[in-house]
Amino acid sequence: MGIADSIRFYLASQYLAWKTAISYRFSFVLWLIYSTFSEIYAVIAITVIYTVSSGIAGWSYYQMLLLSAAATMVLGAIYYHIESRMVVNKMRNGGYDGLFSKPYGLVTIMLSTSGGTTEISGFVSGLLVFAYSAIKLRLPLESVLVYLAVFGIGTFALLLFVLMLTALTYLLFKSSSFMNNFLGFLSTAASYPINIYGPVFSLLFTVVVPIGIATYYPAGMIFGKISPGAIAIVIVLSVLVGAISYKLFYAIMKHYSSGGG
Amino acid sequence: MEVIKAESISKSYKVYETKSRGFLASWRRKYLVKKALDKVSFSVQNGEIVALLGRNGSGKSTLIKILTGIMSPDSGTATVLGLDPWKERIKLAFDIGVVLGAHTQINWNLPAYDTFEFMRKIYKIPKPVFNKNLRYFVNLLELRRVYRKPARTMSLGEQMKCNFVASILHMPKIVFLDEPTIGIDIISKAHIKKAILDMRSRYGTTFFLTTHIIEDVSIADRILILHEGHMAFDGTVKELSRMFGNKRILEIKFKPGAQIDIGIGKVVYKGFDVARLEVSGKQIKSKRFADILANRNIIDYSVSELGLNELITRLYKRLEG
Amino acid sequence: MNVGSYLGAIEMSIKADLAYKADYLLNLFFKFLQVLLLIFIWTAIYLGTKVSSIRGFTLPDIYLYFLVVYALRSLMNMNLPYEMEDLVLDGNIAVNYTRPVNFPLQLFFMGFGEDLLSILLTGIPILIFALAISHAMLSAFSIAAFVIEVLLAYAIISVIGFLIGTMSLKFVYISSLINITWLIVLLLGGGVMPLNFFPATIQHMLLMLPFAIVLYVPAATFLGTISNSTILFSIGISTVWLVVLLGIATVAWNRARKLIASARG
Repeated sequence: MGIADSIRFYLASQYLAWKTAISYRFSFVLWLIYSTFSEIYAVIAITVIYTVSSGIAGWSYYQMLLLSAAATMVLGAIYYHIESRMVVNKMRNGGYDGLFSKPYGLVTIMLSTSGGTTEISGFVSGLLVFAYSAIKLRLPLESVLVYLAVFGIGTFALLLFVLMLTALTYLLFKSSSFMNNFLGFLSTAASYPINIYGPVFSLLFTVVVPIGIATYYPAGMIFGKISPGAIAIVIVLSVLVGAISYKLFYAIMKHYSSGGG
Repeated sequence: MEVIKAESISKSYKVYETKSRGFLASWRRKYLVKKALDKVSFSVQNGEIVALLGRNGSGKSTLIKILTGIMSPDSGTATVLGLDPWKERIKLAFDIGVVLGAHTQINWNLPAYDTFEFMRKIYKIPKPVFNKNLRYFVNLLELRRVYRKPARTMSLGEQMKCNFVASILHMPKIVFLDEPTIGIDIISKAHIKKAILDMRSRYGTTFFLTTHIIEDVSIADRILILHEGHMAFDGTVKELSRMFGNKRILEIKFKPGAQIDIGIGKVVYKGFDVARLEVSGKQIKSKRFADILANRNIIDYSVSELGLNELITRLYKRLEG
Repeated sequence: MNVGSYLGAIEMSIKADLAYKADYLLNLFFKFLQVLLLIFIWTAIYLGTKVSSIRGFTLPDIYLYFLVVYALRSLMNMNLPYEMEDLVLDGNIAVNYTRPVNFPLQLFFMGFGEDLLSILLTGIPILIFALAISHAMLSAFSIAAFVIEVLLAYAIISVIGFLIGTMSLKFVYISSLINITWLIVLLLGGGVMPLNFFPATIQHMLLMLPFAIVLYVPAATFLGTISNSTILFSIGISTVWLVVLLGIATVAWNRARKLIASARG
């Protein structure tokens, strides 16, 4: 199955998902609005913090806004593709069985059909604040593009990681509350510079749960706080994390069995 | 030509059981290993319609999942169209269709047609072929007024028919159906059966269906019966009948109140003017039988085969000892 | 009013909770991690600032504040809406509705069972720990106020959780909604930072909402950084809110019952 085919499946599924979401009309609009709240709150929290203090770890106000907006974008991208609760329910009662009989890889199938369509507005709200901060910081366009490139690689790796983890926690616990808690935790952690978390957690967020790949590191690089050499290492790590998660996911799915015999 | 071959397939599950009672019982859970399939072997030829029967929990759905590559067996091999379903699932997927009774693939909120379009895209069906296939199925299953409605407004029978269509729009060589007629009305059931027979005769499609509803099996060329993970029977209805002595049911109508002494077979039912007896195939051909039926008090009689229901009930009884 | 059945509901929910023991422990673990994160963040904030106290809170005060907030959060689990969502998803809501007990009350006791466990295992030990390391003098008034605040807060959270849960009947997947509600409560209730960090006008507004009493007011009472008059004001207004919310919940529940009755499967 080539990449072109996987993309075709992805687009066809997204088309159906969007049509379905829009059919909810008013509810759909409501959900879109709700998904923006998390960015709204991040902005409020950071603004208040910068009003009462001189900020965090030497990052300026707009730099912090950009960082937390990036975190919102990552989480938005993740939730858009993987809604852990829905995934676990579907896995538990065999909702994927029909889909798994289609001529596409499991990763393609699951990433295309398991998300919350309305989470896109979370992503978009993050993108808007990101753009606003970038403008205020007068970032050159090439910096932004480089950032987005690293961000893209990191986010895709994280998607695979979260997918693998969701399958793993389903296998072990048959419930999604671990993932919900975990992603909430990551969402907070990624909004701030990783180096404030001490050496242990910094390592954790760089290598084990690589949220830094899409947020702190590229942001740090374009603000001159992190060397390009470090970024190169981080990109390699991203690719590794993505590849390992991909393999692990398939190994886990070998043991998958939905309810009923 | 053999299109499906199962050799000694086994698959087990962990089933959790809380053995002890009391407040903290859940802390000390034990698990049992349930063997869903135990060295199951069989084969299916091209163009056959094979029905897999079994009680709930007998391992039918597990077998379908293994044959379609959704699950891998613990031991044994499955070969479908010459491919290992688990290892070459994607390659095989273009040539098989899977209809799951328990989970419709039709989008709940949108017209069934949208799901059909989705299938067209993902199976890469050229537009003219798609239109031709769609016309064929819509006519065959009488869905003309149905397929542009959202699934949530359809009856269960209509949903299942649309689900059926969605799963086979790409005209696969083999169609697997897992409990396709659960809870649907008789007419829709008849449509689906008609569709299966028509596809088989027109396109040579092979059908492998599982069910626990015995009468659904009437369209099958061959029956497989799973019992507690074992293949308890593999053959035609005639062969099953022969297993139980080729019994027939003899129904006699006699003059009301007349005393008839048949003397052969086993009386199953005796009423005011009707009696039903179970006789063997041999007994029917005997001269004694012809003499008895010449009795003037007998107005009419008929001989019929043991129903599938009855045969299978006896098989289960025999298996459960 | 069958007390036995309600106690049965509590027991069942605790049992069900323990059955998902790994689930439960992980839940707890992540709540703990969230607090750890906040401590890191605030340490970074204070280190970057030249002054040793912000709006009356020193760094150790902030640590204590979040410790107490954490203890309080062990009580405020918002499990009601998740349970209701599960019931709707499994289609079991109609079944539960037909049982001869008051369904909302039964739900409440089920949720209470989980919360009880949570308080006993985490909330109370942490409060005791916080008490030990804190040097604030607690008067009888503070203690009484604290208890009342916590009870009010629990009631308010339960009703809000129930209200959100009824939305599941209309929207089915409400986990976004639950998360956002919790985010709102957290931010406006002082879970992200003490409410007096906000500009004065906003502070006053926030103290008028039912969220302040969930986290900020009890934590500040515990630390002794809030005036008695503010405490009394907060208790008063929260009581009014509780009554209003109960009213809304009753209306919502009645409409929900109609929905359940009409949607058969």
